[in-house]
Amino acid sequence: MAEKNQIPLVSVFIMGKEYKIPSGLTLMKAMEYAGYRYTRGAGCRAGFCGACATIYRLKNDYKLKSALACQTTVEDGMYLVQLPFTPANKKKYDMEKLNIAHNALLKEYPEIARCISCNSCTKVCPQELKVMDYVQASLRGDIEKAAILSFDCVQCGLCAFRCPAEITQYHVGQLARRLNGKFVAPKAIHTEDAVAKVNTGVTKKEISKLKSLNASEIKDLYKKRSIE
Amino acid sequence: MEYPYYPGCTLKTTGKKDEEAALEVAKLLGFELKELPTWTCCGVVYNLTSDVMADHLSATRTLIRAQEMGRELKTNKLVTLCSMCYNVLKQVNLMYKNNPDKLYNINLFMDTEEDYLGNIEILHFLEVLYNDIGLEKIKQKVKTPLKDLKVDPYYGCMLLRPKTIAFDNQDNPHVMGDILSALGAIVIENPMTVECCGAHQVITNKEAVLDCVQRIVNISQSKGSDVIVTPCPLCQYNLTTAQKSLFQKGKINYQTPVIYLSELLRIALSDNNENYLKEYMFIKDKLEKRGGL
Repeated sequence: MAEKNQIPLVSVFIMGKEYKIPSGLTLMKAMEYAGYRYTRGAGCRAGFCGACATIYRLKNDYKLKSALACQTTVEDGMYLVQLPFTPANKKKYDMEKLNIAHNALLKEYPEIARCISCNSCTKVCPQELKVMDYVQASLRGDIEKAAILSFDCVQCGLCAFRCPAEITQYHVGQLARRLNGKFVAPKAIHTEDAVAKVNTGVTKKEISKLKSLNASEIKDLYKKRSIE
Repeated sequence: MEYPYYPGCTLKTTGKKDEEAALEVAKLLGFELKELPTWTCCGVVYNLTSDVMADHLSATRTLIRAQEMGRELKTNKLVTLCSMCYNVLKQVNLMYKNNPDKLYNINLFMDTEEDYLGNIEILHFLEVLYNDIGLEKIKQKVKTPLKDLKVDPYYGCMLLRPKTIAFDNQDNPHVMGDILSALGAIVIENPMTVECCGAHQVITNKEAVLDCVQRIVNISQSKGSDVIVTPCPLCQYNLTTAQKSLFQKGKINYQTPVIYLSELLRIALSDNNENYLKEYMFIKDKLEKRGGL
């Protein structure tokens, strides 16, 4: 089909095996085109969930590159493998018992003190975050800065794979954002109001009505919805 | 005059007082410490293993930041406040001066940064005061002379060891004493001034720190010091916390306050410091008794 539409084909090596793939496809689509079927390692397909961390090299380039498979298109001579899962040390903590002392993050993740500032994490981040800088901010107890710098993290886990100090940066950043939300950032009063309103049962009637509908009735309702 | 300035992690956490005071002192003496816009940990300890370059990355990155800011401020200097950071940065810098091949290697590795050219000069705050500002100017700027306050300047190890990075006489340092004399204080000569406070042993072997501190404090107290000053956050921490334990154990009769040199400088250089002095009642009392205030 690709030939018929005259879309040029490129050579892509998936886990070492060569496939001819129509150019313009994302890495994820390319893998599916080659016959792979995702059971893990694919989520939103829109760059938000971080499930499709991929590493690749290009022909004649020593650089090991990284990307989200759903956000990057194939290039000729690409060698790639997708990482369906990151085995990472994620601490269980009780937010009610935590604080924002200067060593709050260090206590949960003492390995951040092993950071040697090699910057591998920043170089690998598909979200182009300053990962090393937020680890360093965490190290010196600057929770707000760590939260702001890590805000766009999609938890793909590539930083943890590359870290020679075996830090799980993305979990540290997540804790920093949680602490920042709970203790530092101004409270979102409108959210609290909305939650209180839900708790009064005001939405219950609507939801039970929806629950009682069958599929075609819901479809009808969806088609008739007002669009802004 | 503006100096690129590297604070280090401790001055942002447990050593905040040192930074606050030093920034104020700089202002009072007519210069500014401009914090590097981004910086990483210095590496904490200079790794003596000659072929492990990874441990020097942190310090090198800071040297590059200083190089960038230096271009803007037209200086090749980088000022530190923490003795530990001073030691690590200066040793790494010196290692590159003596081993250009290592500088070449690390520049190859750090391919997202501009090359470090090896020209940065690491200065401790004390050096700026002593060499760039000078005792005469400091003397002129004193507003609250520390009249007859008996001060024991404690150096610790990190500013003076190894010899290659020392900016003062290694066995008989005088820079801190000279500055304190300029403030009107009586400087006590404590032979333990360059002895170790126990440093990071505080994490694994507290007893060792108690031993070290007891020796330092015993002589200081026998010479009648009112206060011990130090430029090092770790020394300040060890000397303060160990004295608490020693006092509880009955090994010393009283605890001598240990503050940063910058704090005492700030007291001497400002006139409207009633509020600030609230935190330093022991000094206020002593000064009032001796007619200093």
